[in-house]
Formats: sequence, structure tokens, C-alpha cells
Amino acid sequence: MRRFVPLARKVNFILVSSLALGIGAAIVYLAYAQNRDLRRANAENLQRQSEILYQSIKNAMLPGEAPVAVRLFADIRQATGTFEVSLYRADGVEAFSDNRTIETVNANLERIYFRAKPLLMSDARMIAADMNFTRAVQERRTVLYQQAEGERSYALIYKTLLNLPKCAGCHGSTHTVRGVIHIRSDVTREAVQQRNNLLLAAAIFAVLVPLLAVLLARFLQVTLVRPVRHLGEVCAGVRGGDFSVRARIGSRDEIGALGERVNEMVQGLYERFQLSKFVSGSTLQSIRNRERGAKASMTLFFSDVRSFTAYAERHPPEQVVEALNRLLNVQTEIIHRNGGDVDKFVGDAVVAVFSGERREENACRSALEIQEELGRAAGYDGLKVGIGLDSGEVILGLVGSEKRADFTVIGDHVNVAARLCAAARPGMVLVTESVYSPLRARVKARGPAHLKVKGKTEALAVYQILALPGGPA
Amino acid sequence: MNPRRASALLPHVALAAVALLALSCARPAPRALVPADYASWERPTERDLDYPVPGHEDHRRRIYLNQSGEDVRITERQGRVVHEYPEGTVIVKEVYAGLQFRQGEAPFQLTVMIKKPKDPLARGGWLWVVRDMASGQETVIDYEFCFDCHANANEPHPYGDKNPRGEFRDYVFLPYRK
Repeated sequence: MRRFVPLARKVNFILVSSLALGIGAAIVYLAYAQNRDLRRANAENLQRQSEILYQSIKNAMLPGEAPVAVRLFADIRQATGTFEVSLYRADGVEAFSDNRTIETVNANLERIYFRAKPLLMSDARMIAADMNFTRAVQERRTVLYQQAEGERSYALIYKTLLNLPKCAGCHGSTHTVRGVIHIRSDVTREAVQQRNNLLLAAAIFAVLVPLLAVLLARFLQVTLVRPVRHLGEVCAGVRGGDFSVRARIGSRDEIGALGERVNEMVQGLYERFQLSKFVSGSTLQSIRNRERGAKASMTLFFSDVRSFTAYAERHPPEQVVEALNRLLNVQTEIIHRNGGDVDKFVGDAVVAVFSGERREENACRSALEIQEELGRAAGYDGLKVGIGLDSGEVILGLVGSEKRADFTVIGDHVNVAARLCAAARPGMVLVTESVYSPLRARVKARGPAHLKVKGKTEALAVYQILALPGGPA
Repeated sequence: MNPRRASALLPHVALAAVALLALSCARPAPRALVPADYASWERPTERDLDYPVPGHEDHRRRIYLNQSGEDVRITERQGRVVHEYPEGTVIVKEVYAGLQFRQGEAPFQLTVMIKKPKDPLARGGWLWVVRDMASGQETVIDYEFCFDCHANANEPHPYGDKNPRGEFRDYVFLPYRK
């Protein structure tokens, strides 16, 4: 059997997961996009700055003004504090730290064109072991990367200074890369901003999702879950026989409309329930099965109050009706208890049917219990009934007009049972051979007596049932 | 058909469908940018370039120009001579291992200029392509290296006629002359 999962749990699950996925995806994307754009803007800025520096250095170097470049680097470092520019030769040694380039140029020009200068860089560095530097030289392309040093973050760029054809006259034609411009930009502030963006996004997510989940869950609880639960309680009440319960849903929406429908349905059920008291079980069954007519083997039960007309004449109507209802009520209860079905009441007479394998026994037991009850109790004003039983095949059918019909039994055995009932004295149970035969071994009976009944040419063998010992066979 | 047999066939059919789908979605092999018959084209300069230059260093070069390139348009604009190679021009530069000519030697690399101004990877209206002859792999150089160097062709430079008047040579150091 499938496990019961409360609606509230499903709703909460869907809410939380869709909020987490939806808002999470949006926030993650926004944070990612913002950081990406920030990184891209930094990189583009650095590229642009390197390009400007490249052009500056190239133009300073063409007339051999290395000191101008050195001064430019120093000025940039001093002015910005967060920006560092260096120039390395292709072999990784920091440019201007010696006079080797001047010597090479003079050799290529075959004359002393530039005089050796005092060393311009006092703290020459060497970065040949740097993988990014090597890559820039070998691939002859700009390499951009990031680096963290302690708490600080840097964006770095290696931009190759190409040995262009116009430089080849001085610098020779045997190499392509003259040097590498190295720019280091302190991007700690941007990195912190990126991290803060992520933290802020996570915080928004952590606050927004539960908050929205609670608000939406509360809303759905009030508008959906609680009314549905209430409708379930109404249905449970009706199932338990309480037709006074009503759905009380104030909302003017589909749920409210459903509540009204449920109330109408409960009212309808109540009315049908009340009406069912006036209709036999077989009628209800036939309505359920949409039957029109059928043959069946049944035991017919007829009881009739003896001297009731005289009783009615002697007593006020209210008392008559009350006494009759008590009589009919006790008979109905006993008949139902023994598996019978009251087909109809005809004045003070009860017509009932018993079906199934033990129909004769059940009918006899009902008749004996009724006689016993009426015989010992004082509440029936001394009224007694005579009972007649017959068993056999009868026709069941919806008999009546289009507007008023009963599902009842008709046939010869119905008449016979009625005749036996009429013949029975107060407190007596008379049965035919067809009822007596199956019970012969167990039943205490008197007879047979031969009874001439209307409509029959031959006298019927009739037995008076006295007792039926034991419980169900 | 027997249902059991049909169900046994089902995985095979599904597999075939997936394979067909994969084939239809597979990226087609890239078309070679450098035509195989380039060696039959015109050569802007008959001699091999056997002197070192930055970018090609100590490697001998031989240059070819396709027929489209022969229709180079030379005009004058605002007092400056302007060379314009038509779209579709391909200039192939064979690059050999050493500077000296060796009989039967094949180039190890082709560096190619393809006039394709609308291509997003184009710089100066040209696609700059390197073909490694050993692997056959072609790489579009989408960074400054080739372009920066060839930009010097549009100003006085040390090669060929040295472009003393600073003509705009459309990034070609040794222009084609009919």
C-alpha cells in the first residue's frame, strides 16, 4: 500500500525546492556574472594599460632612450602605489640592469652609437623560472594571470615586446622577442569585492529562501491545506453517521465553492438516509444495481396484529400509532438481526423476505423471537401477531408507476404466506412444507395439519413451529 | 511480429537511433583554410627569402599568392599610395628548417594570410594562419603577434624595396607587381 504523505509536506517540499532552485540559480548566476564582469573589466583594463605602456616603451626605446623608460616605471610605481611595471629581456634578466643591450646594438650597427650608461637598476631581478614568463616568450603572446600573496591579490600580465622589423636594424633579426613587459596590479580591493559579492549572495539566499518558504507555506496552509483538512474532517463525520457536520470555508475561490458542494452533498446524503428508512433493503439494492426484475428463491414472512381493528377503536389515535410503531419496530429489529429484509408494512402487517442458504431457519427464528418478545413484554398492550411463512421461487421487481414504485416480491408463495398468516392465531407461527422440510431434524413443530386456502384446490400441509433449538446451524 | 522478438530488437533499434543522432550532431571536420595546390600559384618574388627576420628567424621562406591576389588594387588616397588586396586573396609563406636551400626539402610550416575582412578573428582584414606540416593542424593566430609585425609593412622597413614612401601595403612586405 502506498504510504500516506501529508499534503502540507508535499507543498513544503515543492515550495522549498523550487525556491531554493529558482532563487539559488538566479543569485548564483548574478553573483557569478557580476564577478565575471568584474574580472573581465580588470583584465581588459590591464590589457589596455599594458598596450599603452607597450607603445610608450616602444617609442622611448626606438631613439635609445632607455632611461626614459626606467623613469616611467619608477614614476608609475610611485604615483599609483598599486601598479608596478617592469621590463625583462627575453632571457629573464631585468632590462637596464646592465649594458648588454647597448653593446649588442653597437655591435649590430658596427659602431659606438650608444655609450655605456651607469647601471640604471640597482636591484635587478631575474624571473626566467616563471612559467608564465616562459610561456609569453615561447608563444610570443600576452599572458594574463592572477596571484595571491598573503592577504593581497594581484592581476599580472606579461606582454611581449616584439622585435619588429623597424627594430631589427639595431637589435638584429635573429630573435623575435626583445623583451617582456611585466605589469603587476594590486586587485585586492576587487578580489574582496568579489568575495563580498559571493557572501552577500549567499546571505540573501540564506535569508530570502526560508523567509519566502515560511510566508508561502503559511499562505498555502491557510488557503489550501487547512480547508482540505477541514473537508476531510467533514467527510469523516458523515462517514461516521453525523449528518450535522458542515464545511465552514469562508474563501471565495475554488476551495470555497468545493466546501459549498460538500455541504450540498451532505444535505443530500442526509435526506437520502432519512428516505431509506421508508424503503426496503431490497429496493435500495435494486436501485444500486439498476435492476428491473428477477427470479429468486426466498422465504416469505407475513405477520399481522390480531384484533388490531378492535384495539384501534378502543384507544386514541396517538396511542394506536405509538403501539403499532412499537410492534413494527421490534419486528423490524428482529428481522434485520436475523438477516431478513422488511419488504413493506401494510397497515399493521409486516411483509419480509429472507434469502440465502439459511433463509428458512432465519425466518423461523425471527418469527419465534417476535412471538417470544411480544409474549413476555408488557409494553405492547397485550397485542399479539400471527405469522405465516412459505418458501419458494418468487419474482422480484420494481412494481408501480414511473413516479412511485416499490421493489417488491410477487408470486404464489407470497399469497400462501399471507394465507398462513391469516390462519395463524395470536402467538402462532405457521409454515408450509417447503419451510419445515429443511429444518425437520432440528425444529420442534406440530403437524402437519391440512389447511384449505383460497386459490388452492388442494389442502396445504401446514406446521406450527414451536421452537428452534440451538444457534445458527 | 512475435512480441518477444520485437522486444529483443528494441535495444538494437534504440542504439542505432542514438548512433545516427550522434553522427548527425557530430561537428563536421574543419575545412582546410590553406588550399593544397598553393605551390602552383604565382610567386610575388622569385627568390627565396634566405635572410633572418624577426618572427621567422633563421628559416628560409618562399612566398605564393593566389589568383585573387593578383588583382591587387593600387590607388592613391590623400597623397598616400594604398594597396588593397581583394577578399579571397591567400598568401602562403613556406617556412623551411634552415636558411640554406636544400634539394627536395619540404617546409615544416606554412604561415598564411587570408583576406577575410568580415571574419571576427581577422586583424587588419586578414586571417593569420599557421599550418604545421607534420600534423596538418591549422591555427588561426588571434593575438597580436603576426599582425603587429606585418603592420610595419605599411611604413618604411628593412625588407624588399623598404617601402621608402610609407605606402599602405595592406600588411604585405613584398607586394605583388604585375
